[in-house]
Amino acid sequence: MSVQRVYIAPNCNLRVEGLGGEGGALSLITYFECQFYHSQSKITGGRDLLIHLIQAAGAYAQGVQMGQSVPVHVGGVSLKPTEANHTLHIAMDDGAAAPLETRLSLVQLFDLVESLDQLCSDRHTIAELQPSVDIAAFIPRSSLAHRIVPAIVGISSVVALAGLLLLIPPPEPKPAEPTPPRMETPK
Amino acid sequence: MSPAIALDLSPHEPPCPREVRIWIDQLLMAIEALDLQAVEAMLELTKQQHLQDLVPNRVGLWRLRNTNPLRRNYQRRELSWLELRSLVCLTCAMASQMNTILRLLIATEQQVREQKIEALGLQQNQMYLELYYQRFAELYRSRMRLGTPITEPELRDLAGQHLIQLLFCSGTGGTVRLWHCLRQGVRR
Repeated sequence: MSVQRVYIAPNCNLRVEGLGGEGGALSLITYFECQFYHSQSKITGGRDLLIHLIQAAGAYAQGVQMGQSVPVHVGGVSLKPTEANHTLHIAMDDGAAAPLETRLSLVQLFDLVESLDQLCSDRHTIAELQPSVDIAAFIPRSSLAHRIVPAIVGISSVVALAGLLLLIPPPEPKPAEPTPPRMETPK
Repeated sequence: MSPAIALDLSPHEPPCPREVRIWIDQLLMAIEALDLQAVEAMLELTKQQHLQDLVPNRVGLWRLRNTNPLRRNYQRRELSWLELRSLVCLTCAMASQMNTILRLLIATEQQVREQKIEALGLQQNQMYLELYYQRFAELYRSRMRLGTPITEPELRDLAGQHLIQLLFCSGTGGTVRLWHCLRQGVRR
């Protein structure tokens, strides 16, 4: 049985098609399309592209919310910050179709994430669709060389200071002056 | 909205760190800047969401928010992750009610940056945005310690960043997203 689900947001429209299981639940995704109203651009593809889109959009939104907009690439989907906007680049599933690139404002990005979140939280859809909230994997870690510089600077400054201290001559011991014998006066 | 947050905590997890307490209190302050009657609505929501054990009344909410160390009335009280979860649920429930105004203000902020307000004739929307910035700054100055150094542009940036955070809180996965933001922000 063919099943179709539609999730509507003010700036985009997500339509998912697949095969239904018990109670009309979506058990296998065969096709989806996501239409943006501002540019008339349409993302179309199958299950893999949809999962990549969910992961990329979810993780990127998490970065935006945390104030750390970092480029995110998952499969054929990439999202990156550009000036005041966000650029979504999609390599379509079928190689013949030209890749899609569209600029999204923050509200349009939110609507994309919202429609995908609605799909993931739909009880009548397959369980493997989970919203992505982990941005940590996409934040570039500083290289080993970059991280080791502060340690090298610290250790070398301690060595240099120790060398300088060695140049200071140790104080000469002064010969003890003979002290006159103490005279005790009778009380 | 149901609080679909899993408490992924170890038994020996220390209470919420300073950054998290500041973050959640400032988000609630941004909500107040959008709606001056927000606290009454929050107290009503505690009944609907069965959070009265953790947020029993106005004073209880005030105590939780005063775990922000930047507050004038900071009393060195800790905030547990369970208490934080209740504040996250309140924040997201309030944000979802404010979705329309959040969209409007964020779109307006972008139009201001692109200098399109005059051309589009949306000066009234810009006034709403300025009113939000002004209220946020007033609330911040009246509640935070004087020694907290923050300039006017920094306050505007902070208020703008909280608008974006609230927009993502207002969505279907808002509670889960904010919870992970707070957790990942800690692990960073």
